[in-house]
Amino acid sequence: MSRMRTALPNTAVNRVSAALILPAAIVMGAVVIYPILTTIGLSLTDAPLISLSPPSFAGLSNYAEWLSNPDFWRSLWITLIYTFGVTIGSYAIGLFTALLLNLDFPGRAILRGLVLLPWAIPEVAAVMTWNWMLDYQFGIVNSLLGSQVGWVTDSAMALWTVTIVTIWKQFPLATVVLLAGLQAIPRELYEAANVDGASRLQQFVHVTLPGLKPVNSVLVMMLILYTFKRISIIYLLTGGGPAKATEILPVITYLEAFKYFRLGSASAVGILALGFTLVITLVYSRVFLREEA
Amino acid sequence: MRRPKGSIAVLVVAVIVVFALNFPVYWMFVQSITAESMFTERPSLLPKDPSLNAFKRICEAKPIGQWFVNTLIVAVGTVALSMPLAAGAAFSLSRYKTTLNSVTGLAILGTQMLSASLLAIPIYVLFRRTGLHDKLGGLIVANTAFTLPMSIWVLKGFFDAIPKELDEAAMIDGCTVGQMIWQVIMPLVLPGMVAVSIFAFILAWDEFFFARTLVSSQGNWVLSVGLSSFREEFTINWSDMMAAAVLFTIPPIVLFMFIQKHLVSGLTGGAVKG
Repeated sequence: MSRMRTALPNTAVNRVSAALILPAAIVMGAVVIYPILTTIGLSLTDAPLISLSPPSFAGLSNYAEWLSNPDFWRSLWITLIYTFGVTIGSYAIGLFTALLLNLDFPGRAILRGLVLLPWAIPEVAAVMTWNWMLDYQFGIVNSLLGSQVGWVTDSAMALWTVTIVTIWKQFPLATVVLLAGLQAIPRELYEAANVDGASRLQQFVHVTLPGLKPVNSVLVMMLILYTFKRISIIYLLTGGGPAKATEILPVITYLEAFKYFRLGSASAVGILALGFTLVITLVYSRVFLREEA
Repeated sequence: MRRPKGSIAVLVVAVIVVFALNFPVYWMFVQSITAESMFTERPSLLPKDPSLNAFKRICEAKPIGQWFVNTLIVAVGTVALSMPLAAGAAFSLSRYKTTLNSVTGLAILGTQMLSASLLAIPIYVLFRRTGLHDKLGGLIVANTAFTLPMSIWVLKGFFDAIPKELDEAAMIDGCTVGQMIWQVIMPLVLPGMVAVSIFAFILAWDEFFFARTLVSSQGNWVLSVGLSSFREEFTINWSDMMAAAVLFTIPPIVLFMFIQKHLVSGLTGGAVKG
C-alpha cells in the first residue's frame, strides 16, 4: 500500500481499475492503435486503394521514394511555415484579446463569450464563408480593400491566405487559455509593482509575461500540434493548390490515398509526418516543459 | 463597485475589436438573407432587401432535412458510445496508478499527434473489409477515435477535483465499488459529464474529414459534407451556401453557450484551470 491510499487491497484495486479502463482501452485500440499499426504495415507495401490481390511487400522503398522526392521536402517546409505562422499569429491575437478582455469594463462577460465565436462555429461553415469573402470577383474582401487579389488562386498568396484563415479560426483557443493565465496572476504583484513605481510597460514585462509562463508552455504545444495535423481548412480552401503552394503533409497524405489511390505510398508519407510531429513534441517538451517540472 | 476611469473607452475599443474579429460570422448571417441578385453588385455591409428565400430554396433543392437527421444520429451516437467508456476510464485514471493505466494515459496523449488524414486510411480499409463503410454506425465508431481521448482527459480533471477521502469514507461505510462510484461520485461529477457530453456532441456535429472519407452515398451524408458539396457545383449559389452554413452553425453555437465556462479546462485537458 505504498503508492496510493485506498480502502481496497492491491489485487482488488488492480481488478477494479482494469475493469473500468479496459472497455475504453479496447475501443481506443480498435480505432486508433490498430489502425496505426495497419498503416505502418501498409507503408511497407505497394497497396492500391482497391485491390483484388494481396499487396506485395515493398520494404522501405516507399519511404526512400518520399525522402528523395523534392515535393516531400517542399511540403514539409510549407507545413512548417504554416504551423509556425499560425502558432505565432494565434498567440499574438490571443494575447492581445486576452489582455483587452482582462481589463475592467462594463459588458466584459458578453464580449468574452463573443470573442470565442470563430472557434465555436463549425470549420466547414467558417471555410465556406471565407471562400465567399475571398472570391476574386464579388468577394467582400477585395471590395473593401479595393484590391484585385486572387487570395486562393494566386500561388504567391495562397499560403498567406490559409495561414490567416487558420489563425482566425484558432486564436480563441489562445484567448481563453491566456485569459485564464492572466486571472491566475495574483493582484498583489501588480500592487507591489505600483508601489515600487513600475510603469505599465515594466509591469507587463516583469509581472504579466513571467506570470503567463505556466500556461504558455501548454498553449504553444497545443497550437503547434493542432496546426501541424490540421487539414480541413486547407483542403476546403485551396485543396493544396494552386500548383501545390499549400500542399501540407496531411493534404499530400490524403490526396495520395484517396485521389491517386496509392495506399502504401500515402501511408509512408503519413507516418513520416507523424515522425516529425513526434520529434517536434519531444524536442519541445525537453526544452520548455522540463525546466518547470 | 467603482470602475476605473476610462472603462467606457475600453468598452468601445473592446467592442470594435471583438466585432471586427467576428466579421466573417456576421457576413455569413447577412449573406444568407441577402437576395442572390445583389451578389454581382458591389456588396453592401447591411442586408439589402432581406428575405428567407435562400433557406426555402435549399430546403426544397437539397435533402437538408435528411442530412440534419444524419448529423444528429452521428453526434448523439458518438456521445452515447464515448461517454460511458470515458467515465469508467477517467475514474480509473484519476484514482489508480497501474501499468495498464499509465500505458492508456500515454496512448491518449499520443492520439493528439495523429492527423485525421493519417487515421482515415487504415479506418477506410478496415471499414471496407468489415462492411462499416458508408454506414452512419461506422462514422460513429470512427468519431470515437478523437472524442474518446478528449472526453477521458477532460473528465479525469473533474474526477481529480473530488477528494479521494470521499471514496474511502463511502467504502468504510460499506459501499461496494460500484455503489461508491454510482451513488457517491457520479452525482458530484454530473455537471462535468454534461459539459463533456456537449463538447463531444459539438466535435462530432462539426466533424468533416471522416464523414467525407468514410461515407459515400448522398443519403448518408452529414451536414458538413453536404455543405462542402455546394462548392463543387458548376455555378456556386453563395446565398444558398450561406443559408446552409447558418443552419449548420446554429445548433453547436447554442450548445456552446452552455459549456463556455468549462472551456478552459476542457481545451487544455485540465492542464490549466479555468
